Amino acid sequence: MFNASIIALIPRLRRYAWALVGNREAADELVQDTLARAIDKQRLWHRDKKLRPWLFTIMHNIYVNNVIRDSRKSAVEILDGDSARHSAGNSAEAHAEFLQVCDAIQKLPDDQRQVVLLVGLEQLGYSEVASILKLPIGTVTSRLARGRAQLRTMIEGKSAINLKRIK
Amino acid sequence: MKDTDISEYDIHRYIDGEMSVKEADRISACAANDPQLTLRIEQYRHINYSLHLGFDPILSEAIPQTLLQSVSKASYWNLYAIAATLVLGIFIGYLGRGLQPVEFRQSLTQVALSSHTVFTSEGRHAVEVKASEVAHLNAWLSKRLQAAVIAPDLTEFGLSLVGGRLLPDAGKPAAQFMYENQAGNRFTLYIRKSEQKNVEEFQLYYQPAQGLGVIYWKQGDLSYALTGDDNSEYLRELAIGAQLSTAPKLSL
Repeated sequence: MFNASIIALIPRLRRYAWALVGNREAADELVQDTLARAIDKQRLWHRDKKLRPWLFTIMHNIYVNNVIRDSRKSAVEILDGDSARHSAGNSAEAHAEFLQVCDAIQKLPDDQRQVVLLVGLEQLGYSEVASILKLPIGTVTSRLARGRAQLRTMIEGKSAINLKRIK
Repeated sequence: MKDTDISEYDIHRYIDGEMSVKEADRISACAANDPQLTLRIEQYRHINYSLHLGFDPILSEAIPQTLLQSVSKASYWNLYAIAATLVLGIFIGYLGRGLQPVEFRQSLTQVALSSHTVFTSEGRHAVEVKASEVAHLNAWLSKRLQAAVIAPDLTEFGLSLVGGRLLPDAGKPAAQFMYENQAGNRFTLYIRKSEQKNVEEFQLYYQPAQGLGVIYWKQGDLSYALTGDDNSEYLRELAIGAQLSTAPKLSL
């Protein structure tokens, strides 16, 4: 049951990892390490605890220990094959917009990117994010605000069309 | 009220649903008279939208074998877990095919929709047996349907069980569980015996109707239809949650 529940969450872990590290191969490596550690530590997980935040906590710890230490792979990679293939169903305009957001998100400092993604993409509550990142809620809120404000400026600066579109 | 009363943090808490209804109403009222504030809220929301647009496609991809193996390898000692893993792997593979609106089994969604509409509008009599007696409810419905009928635990999705009831379905017993979120929105899970026995059809089908959405699937001897807001992504998550919650007894 534990394993089955974890498998059901793999797509979510892959999504977050991809957005976080900006490179699909590195993202799946991070997911793999997370899964291995979760299986290893499954005795530490209690049924009354939500599984998803627990897995994200593990992923975050591994990310901090490993990925930050190595230099992150170039964010440029995300701009070619991967996303082009995956957003094939979207319009060219939507795709261009996605690339812009991806590019911008990779330029954010790590601590802000994590919060922006956990809240915006994973839709976790501030308190859950605080517990995953081991931060006070106030810090989560301020990083989120700074991160989003930066993204907004970056996106705004790049495209006036974008601004018009979303009015 | 002026924009200056609203801090930058308030805007984010508003967007992320981290404030009380009262606080949120205040921000909505301010935004209604302040195009600058409205624009800022829209821009921040748009960031989330773009993230989903870009990264969500990975959710419906098949999970790479290497990742599946790293989970199942550790459990070779546990045949049960391997079996569950395989079944779920297949199920998730099916999910990857996406949600397809289809014509057949129309009657299940119709009966689920009408039961949903009739009973969710009830205040005091929404359910026959309340969630406080869930063990009795499960046992009773299982006995009547002659199959393991279990109210899935959806608390992870912010839904608490209101209770359930027995319903007639073309002369046969059927069951309905009702759930409610904090905002008071109700979701119902309609369960009846499948015509064919022991069918494992993990494909989820989605059908929007009457401003609601119904997602339905078959598992074991039972057919399930989950009805709620017209939001296929959210209903899909709930359906997976419901399947996981009842999987040990039903899928093996």
